[in-house]
Amino acid sequence: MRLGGVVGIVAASALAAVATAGPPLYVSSAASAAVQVQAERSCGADLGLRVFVLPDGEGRRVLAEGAATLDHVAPPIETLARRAATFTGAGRDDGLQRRITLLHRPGQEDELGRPVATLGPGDALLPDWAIDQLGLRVGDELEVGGPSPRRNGPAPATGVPTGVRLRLVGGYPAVPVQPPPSFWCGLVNDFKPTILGDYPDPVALVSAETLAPLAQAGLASDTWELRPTTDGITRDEAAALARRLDALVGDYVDHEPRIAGFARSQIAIAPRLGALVGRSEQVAATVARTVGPVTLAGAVATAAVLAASALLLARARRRELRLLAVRGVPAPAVWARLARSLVAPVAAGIGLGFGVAVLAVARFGPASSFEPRLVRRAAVLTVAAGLVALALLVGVAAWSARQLVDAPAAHRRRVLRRVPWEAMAVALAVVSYRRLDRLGGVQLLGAKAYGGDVLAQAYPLLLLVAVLVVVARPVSALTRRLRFVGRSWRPSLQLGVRRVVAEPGVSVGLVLATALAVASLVSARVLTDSAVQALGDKARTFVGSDLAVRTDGDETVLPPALAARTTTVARQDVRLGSSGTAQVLGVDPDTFARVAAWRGDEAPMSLAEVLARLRERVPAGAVAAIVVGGRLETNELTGPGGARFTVAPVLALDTFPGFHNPGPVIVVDRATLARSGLSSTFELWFRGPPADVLAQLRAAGRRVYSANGVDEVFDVSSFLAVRWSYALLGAFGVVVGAVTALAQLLVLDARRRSRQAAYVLTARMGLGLRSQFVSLLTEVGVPVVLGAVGGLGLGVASGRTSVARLDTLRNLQPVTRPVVAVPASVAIVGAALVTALVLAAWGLAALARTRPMEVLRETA
Amino acid sequence: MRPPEAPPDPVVAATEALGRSFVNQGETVTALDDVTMSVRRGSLTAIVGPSGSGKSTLLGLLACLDRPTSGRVLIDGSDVTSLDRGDRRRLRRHRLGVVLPQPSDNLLDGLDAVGNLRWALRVRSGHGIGLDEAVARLASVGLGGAARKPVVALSGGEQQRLAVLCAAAGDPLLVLADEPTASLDRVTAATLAGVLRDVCDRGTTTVVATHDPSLVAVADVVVSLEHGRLA
Repeated sequence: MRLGGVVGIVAASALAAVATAGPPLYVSSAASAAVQVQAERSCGADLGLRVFVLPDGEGRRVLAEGAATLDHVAPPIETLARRAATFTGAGRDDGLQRRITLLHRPGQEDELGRPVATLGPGDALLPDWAIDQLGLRVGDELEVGGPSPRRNGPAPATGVPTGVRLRLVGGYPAVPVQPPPSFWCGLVNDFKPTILGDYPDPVALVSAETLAPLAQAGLASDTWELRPTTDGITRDEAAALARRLDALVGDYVDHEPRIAGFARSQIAIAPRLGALVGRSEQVAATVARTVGPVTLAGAVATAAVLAASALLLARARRRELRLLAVRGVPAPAVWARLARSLVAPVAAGIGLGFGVAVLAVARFGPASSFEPRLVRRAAVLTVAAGLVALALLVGVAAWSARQLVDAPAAHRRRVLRRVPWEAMAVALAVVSYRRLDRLGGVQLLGAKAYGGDVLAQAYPLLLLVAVLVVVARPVSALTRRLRFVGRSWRPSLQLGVRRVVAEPGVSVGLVLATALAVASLVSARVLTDSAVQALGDKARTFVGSDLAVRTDGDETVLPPALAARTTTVARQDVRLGSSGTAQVLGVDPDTFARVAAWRGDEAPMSLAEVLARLRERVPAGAVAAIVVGGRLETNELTGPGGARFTVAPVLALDTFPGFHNPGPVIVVDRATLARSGLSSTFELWFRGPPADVLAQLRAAGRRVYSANGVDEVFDVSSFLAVRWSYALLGAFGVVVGAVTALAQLLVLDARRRSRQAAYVLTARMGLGLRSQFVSLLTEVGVPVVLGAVGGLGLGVASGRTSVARLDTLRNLQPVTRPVVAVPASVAIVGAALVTALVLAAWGLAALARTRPMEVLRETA
Repeated sequence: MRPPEAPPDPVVAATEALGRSFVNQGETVTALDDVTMSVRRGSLTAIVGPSGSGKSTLLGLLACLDRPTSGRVLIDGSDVTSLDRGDRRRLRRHRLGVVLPQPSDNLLDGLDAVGNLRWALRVRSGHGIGLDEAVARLASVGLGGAARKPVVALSGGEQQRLAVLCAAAGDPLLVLADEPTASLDRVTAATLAGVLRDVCDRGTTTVVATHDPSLVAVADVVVSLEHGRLA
């Protein structure tokens, strides 16, 4: 087998391996990445183990020894805490008892954001705000007492003190709570404001020596904490760790008789790592469902490439195969002969493809770490794919060879040609479209994925295939008619075009393959860009802007820098008539437009014009209102406490910034809402907020109840699944592109002999290598240009018709709209043309090595 | 006392009202029309005629490489036209030897001369021959010195002599050679004609499609075709 043929078989086999190993590795990678990304956004303490330990027990040894055997865990941390204690002290010495929490965690002094004094026995640090609020000074002494020992805990030893005297040695800045630093995240409840926005009990940081006597007396809890280290962890490792942590708690309970009879929830806070793994499984399931059609299409495309490779192989080895047929060699012997010569290139291709799949997923996939179990499974599948590829290559080549001698009567082949394959492809695309229209794509509800009908999901690809199949015959017939085109052209150009039209089947195949590649790539890009854009649009519409902070009051007390990029929105749930409900959104028409997320296609007018409608004159006693996402059964609204409110709808829209399904939402002018006496909660919406916006709000004296950013608006796993699903579509486009380039390479190689013969003859007629290059470029370039232009249009059309229907979050407004990235599309077409140039150069290099005498003797 | 065996049929191959037409670009082209002929056992028959007269088509039909659109082909008295592909393949394997016009089309590139001969015998009869015997057979056609040369290193004439040797290996019923001297010079063609004559003289019936005078000169029977019909 010549090198060109070997390269073709190796490449086709490599594609088979990539198509087989890629999707499962990718899904596995997505699952592991989902664990890592979610863990990164979670508190390590919540994911790991937190066990309340007793002093001097066997259980401590069991926990320490168990922890030492675990992978992916950080060294254990012990935290002593005395909560719900009370103190009286100097400063504002009014004799009142106030609540306080005493806390010690090793390394605490280094995690406060500024240098603080090292704590000795009896020393305490209090938050700056508490020192200020309580009128304390450094050096003051606090007498800490508290409630009696825990009812169910061991009784304190006789003579053990139940209180402690503290000396204030300094203050520390407020610990951030949204998000909290990793060190403090497990203790965030001790630091965060109450649900009403009030300060929590002040936390006095003390030394271990200060709290040890209280712990011995059972007056302080001792929490043993083991955090997972999730950097690079795989889904399987995380699942195994979750099981081991659970088992460790069981061992601890078994070895600690003093806690016999306690409920497990009183002994340990259940680690959430298992739940996180469960959500990651859902992400993997969603990705797997979404990439199903791509995987299927990849398999079909790979089978097509293998079949094409086999046909070209049969063509390249035509003399040998014909000789075998002429000599009457039995079919099994022909298969064995073909198989023997193909085993090495197929094995090399499979190995290469598996390596490429692993490297590509590790480099470009969601996570670089692999689960050994799935790598082994992918390897086994790849070997199986290699065997199938070998069988397919041998089978198709042998079948093709059978046509060389004693072929069936031509009329049978004519009958096959008359079968309306186009009608079948079109029918499949129509059925697929109808299913997609009816069922939609994969639907995400929270972290769970539903739906995902393979036929419906395959619509973009089936549409491409149907159109290409329909145009195949007319284009082929037209090509035949162009046999004598270019009589007056330059010889090099004429030669190239004649080669294209001389084999209409091959040329049309290349045009359609190029079109399929470009169309897949463009369509994948349209779907990806549209999905990413849609997620952002939906998130911003859900939030209203980039960040929504539930707070008290309005923006008038904000620092000017913040006030310029914010608007205040009032929200209130109301009843409609006797049973319906709605939400009223009070907006400020003067500031809303500069902050709110507005895409432009939500209404047939600008946002400013929409807001102006809120100030339209309406009947007395009513308030102008925009009704979003539904219709009102009655215009009479009843708020909490029975407050009544009449609206006059002036406009109906499907979506609006801050709209949460299910509707309806009634948008009114906030000032009117305030005058109506309807109480509301307030949200500050920010466009492009600074990173420390929450700290600035608190510094300005505002209470922050909650904050909702675009990044956190959906469950993180929903975002991940959608993002990763479409990424594989892009990879599919690249694979199809590689397939087409490979097909071109194989065709060039198959035509090598005739091209060399033509070169030897035409060289004597004055056509040198430069002319041959023009001829080669024409031969390769014509199908590429025609295919690329057709594919571009088809890809855009396919993407545009499927984007809205493949929306994974249909229940959230606004609807997905197609985004066509012109630079990317031009780059795809450009890449196709560059590929043609490279292939022409490759063909020229092969031509330059031609030895005329060998060509004339047909031994080249 | 055993009864005397019936004498073998003197006709090895025959055609009856043989016709073959093709559809090309929507037009029907008749390559052979109503050709009835026979090939006698042990003879060297030359089918001659101008280019396009149907020589190769007739040879292909006799060699079971193609099927007629009308008429019958009889090999050793049996109608092979109605046989299925498997039976026709077995017939080609065990009873027919074919030489194609292009020398390199008759040999496997990956093998040397002796390898090609031994492979041809193994295909024909299921068992090979020793190296010495193979070299001796090659020597009988003047290829003793080229036994271990790869076929691509052989000249066109050497390749075609080797091709005839391979086609005749295992004593087939009939050797069919399609313009075997088409790409050879006159002297080499004459040598090959001698080789084909030797094959025939050793008892293998041979049919050659040719317009080479040197081959026609050694033929026992000459069948002439013109426009697909016997002239």
